[in-house]
Amino acid sequence: MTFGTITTLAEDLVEISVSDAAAAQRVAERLRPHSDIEEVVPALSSVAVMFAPSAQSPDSIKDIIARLISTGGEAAPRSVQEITLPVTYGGKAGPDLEAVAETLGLSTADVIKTHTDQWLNVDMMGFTPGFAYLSGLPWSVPRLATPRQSVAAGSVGVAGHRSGIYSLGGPGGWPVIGRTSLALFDASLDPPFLLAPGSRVRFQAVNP
Amino acid sequence: MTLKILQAGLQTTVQAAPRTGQRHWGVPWSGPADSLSCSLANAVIGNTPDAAALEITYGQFRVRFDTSMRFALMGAPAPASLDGGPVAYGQPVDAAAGATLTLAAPAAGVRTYLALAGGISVPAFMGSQSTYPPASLGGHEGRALIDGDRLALGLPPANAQAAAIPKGLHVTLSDHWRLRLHPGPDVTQGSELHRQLYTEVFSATRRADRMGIQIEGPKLGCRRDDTMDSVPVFPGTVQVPPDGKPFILLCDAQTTGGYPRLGHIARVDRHKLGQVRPGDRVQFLEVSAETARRAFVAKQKTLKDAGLENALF
Repeated sequence: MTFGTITTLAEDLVEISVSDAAAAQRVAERLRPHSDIEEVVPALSSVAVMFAPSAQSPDSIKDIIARLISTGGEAAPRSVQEITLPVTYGGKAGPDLEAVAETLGLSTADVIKTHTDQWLNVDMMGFTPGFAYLSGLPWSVPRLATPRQSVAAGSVGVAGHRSGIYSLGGPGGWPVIGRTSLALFDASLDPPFLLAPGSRVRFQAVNP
Repeated sequence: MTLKILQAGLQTTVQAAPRTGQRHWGVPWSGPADSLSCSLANAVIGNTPDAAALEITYGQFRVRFDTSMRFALMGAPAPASLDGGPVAYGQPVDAAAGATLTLAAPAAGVRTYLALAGGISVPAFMGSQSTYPPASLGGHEGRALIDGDRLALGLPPANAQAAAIPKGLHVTLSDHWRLRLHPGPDVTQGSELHRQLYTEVFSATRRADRMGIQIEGPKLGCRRDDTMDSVPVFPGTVQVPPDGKPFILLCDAQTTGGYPRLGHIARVDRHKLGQVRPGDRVQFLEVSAETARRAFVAKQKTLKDAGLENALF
């Protein structure tokens, strides 16, 4: 397993650069069991590692990380979960659909068609409980200049070539093009998360 | 052993040890915003430092003890009275059954911690009793308390050893915070942004809650990148959205962010963020990983010497 540089971000925090989201997940699984490591957060091209500064320094944790990544066999392949999410596009459910279409020089119907046309991959979870970062869209959409203070739960956003689903109501900086009625996070279930890294998602347009 | 909330104030939540180790699912830490003050309040009455306590925002709070119990206050010094008599901070106080504790608004700081012997009895979710209201997790019904709520307490530890808190460990409140900050990956050494970050004085705005504190100052010479990939962020991360007003992230902060990172507040100073008020001035002091680590280890030793080795901060 290969990785790039390890950067010190704080006295208890380093960041490992990796090739892609799948590599980040594999690296994270190797590191998570170490007792001096408090948090391992795999992202799209990096893995953040927070550790106990009383037990390790950035330099000593870098040595441990390099050793843990380079030893051990390949993880067994997992079954891929595929989920279709019903989405109401535009209107109150997707207040930024028209602005996104205008930015991209597309009709709103074309935005919806592209968004629903393919299986998207869950690259990582993050932001709030159950929020999934999906990849696979053929465009690049800018974030909102100022984050909204309130976005409804289930809102489907787009940013860069990604899509994301707001699992909770709250602030958010991604333009919102629609909303799903399925719960991404349900504390009464075990596990409480609908999606996981590696899941594949397809959006399906439904009438409001 | 129960108590009844007569006046919940602006935002009172049950907070205990943070919900760590779940950030890769998008689950924030929660826990006390000023973790050190909360730990000290617990310690002076012999609780474990991470026992569930009340975090009270801007005072204006009233509670009635249904049975006799021991409590302690720490954090923002909201003037406190027990049935009309003054109450000192950082000391164990015994309340008689039926007594009422009243907190006025604090003149400095934001959050006051009320620890009760035995801790507040609430169920844990994903290993933590701390309240995270955005997802209705933990604490009392997953939400901030409202007038009339009744809380039950756990059993006080049989051999409760009340710790005496050395004066040097009390959180010093201020309206001008000098916080040690590691320069972030999006700040180049020697750049104009680097100079601004460590020489300008920022001001905390009214957009301040348990997720983060917005600060404003001179226009930052920061590159704008609307399409950068989201990266992991933590309590203490300082990130800057395109409008140029940085956010310092706190305990309920999201686990990932898509904005350039200006830096990370040193761990030794992170608990102070829970007491920064709108209008307070904020200045960043550049710190190296080695210096910050030494400061953290020294503070931890001071805590350990006072019998508080498990204090959260």
